[in-house]
Amino acid sequence: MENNIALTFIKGKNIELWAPTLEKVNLYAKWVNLPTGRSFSRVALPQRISELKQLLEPKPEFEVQANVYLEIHHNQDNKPIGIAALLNIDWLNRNAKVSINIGEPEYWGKGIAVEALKLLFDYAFEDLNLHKLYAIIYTPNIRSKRVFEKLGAQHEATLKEEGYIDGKYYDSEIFTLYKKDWLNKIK
Amino acid sequence: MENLSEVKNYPFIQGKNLSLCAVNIDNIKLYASWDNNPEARKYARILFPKTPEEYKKYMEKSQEGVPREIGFELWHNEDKKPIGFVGFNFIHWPNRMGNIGLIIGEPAYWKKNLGFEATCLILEYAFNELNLNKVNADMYDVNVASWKICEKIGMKREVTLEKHVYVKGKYTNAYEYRIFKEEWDELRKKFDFK
Repeated sequence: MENNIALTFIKGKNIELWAPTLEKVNLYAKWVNLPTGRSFSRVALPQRISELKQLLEPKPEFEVQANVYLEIHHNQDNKPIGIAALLNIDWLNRNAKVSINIGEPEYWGKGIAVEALKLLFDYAFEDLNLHKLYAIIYTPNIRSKRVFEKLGAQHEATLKEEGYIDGKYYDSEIFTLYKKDWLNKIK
Repeated sequence: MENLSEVKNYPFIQGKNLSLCAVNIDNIKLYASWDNNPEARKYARILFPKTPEEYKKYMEKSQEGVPREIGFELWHNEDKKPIGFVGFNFIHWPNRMGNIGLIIGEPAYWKKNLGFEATCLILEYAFNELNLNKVNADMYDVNVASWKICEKIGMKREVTLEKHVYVKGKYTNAYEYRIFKEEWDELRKKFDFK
C-alpha cells in the first residue's frame, strides 16, 4: 500500500482533517497515553493498541455512526499531530460530544486546536445537521476552556467533584454550542 | 516479453480513453483518498471519513455465487493510472435491475467527458453481458455533473425526491434516473465510446 496518499477529508488553512487509518494506530496510542496530555482528559487507564484498533475497525453497515474520528494533519510540516472527534452522536436529539487531542506537545499554544475545532463545528452543523455540541472540561484544564470560550461556546453547567485528578477531586464544566449561534453569529 | 512486475492493470473492458479493471486490494488507500476528497465528496454527500480498512473489508468479502455488487477501477489509458471507480452498488437479479455508482476521484480529470464514457461502458456491460433489463442511478441536485451525464445519455428522470438532502443549510432534491435495455439499444448508436 502506498504511504504518501493523502486521506484529506476537510481542508483548512494550516491544517487538514484526514480519515484515520489502522496503519497509524501506534501513533494514536502514543497520543492518548501521553502523560502530559492524558491527565485532563481523564485517561487514567493505559490504552492498549488492541482497543484502539477496535475503535477504528470498520463497523457493520447497519450500525449507525456514533463516533467520528478525524486525524489532524499539519500542512506545512506534512505530518499527523492529533485527533479531533465527535463522540456519542445522538441522532434523535441531534447532539454530540466534542473531543480534541493535540498529541504532539510542540504544537501546543499555536492556535491549532481552535482551527481544528472550527472545521469540526462546520462539519457537525453543516454536513451532519446537528443541533448542539458539548464539551466536558475539568476545571484545571484552563487551556481547553479558553479555546472553547474563544469559539463562542457557553458555560452551561457545572458538575461538582466529577473528576479525580492528581490526588484531588475537581469540578467538570460543560460547555455548549448551538447550531443557530455558530452559523448566524459566531462563525 | 512484457516485464511482469510492470503490469499494473488488467483491463476487463476496453474503452476509448478509459478501461474498466477489477478493483485491486493494493489500491485501497487510493480509493479511500477519492471518497474523502473534500472537492469530490460534497457532491456525493459522503459525510463520514472513510478508512482504507473499510475498502479492504469490502474486498475481502468472500464472493460465493453471483455477487450483488460489482466494482471496477477506471483506468486512464493514456496516463496509465487509476482515476476513479464505476460499478453496481446493488444488483437485483430476479428483477434484472442494477443501480450504478460512479466517481472520478481525481478532480484534474473532471470536465473531460470521462464520466460520460465510463457510464456508457458500464451500461453496455449491464445490458449486453449481465443481461439486465433496467439500470438506475441516484444522485443529488448538487451533483450537477452526474445528472448532466444521465441527461446527455438520454436516461429519464423517473423520480424526484423533494427536499431530501441537507446541503449547506438547505434541504435539496434528489433524483433517480433510469434506462431500459431497449432504450439503450437505440441510444448507444449515437455515441462513440469504444
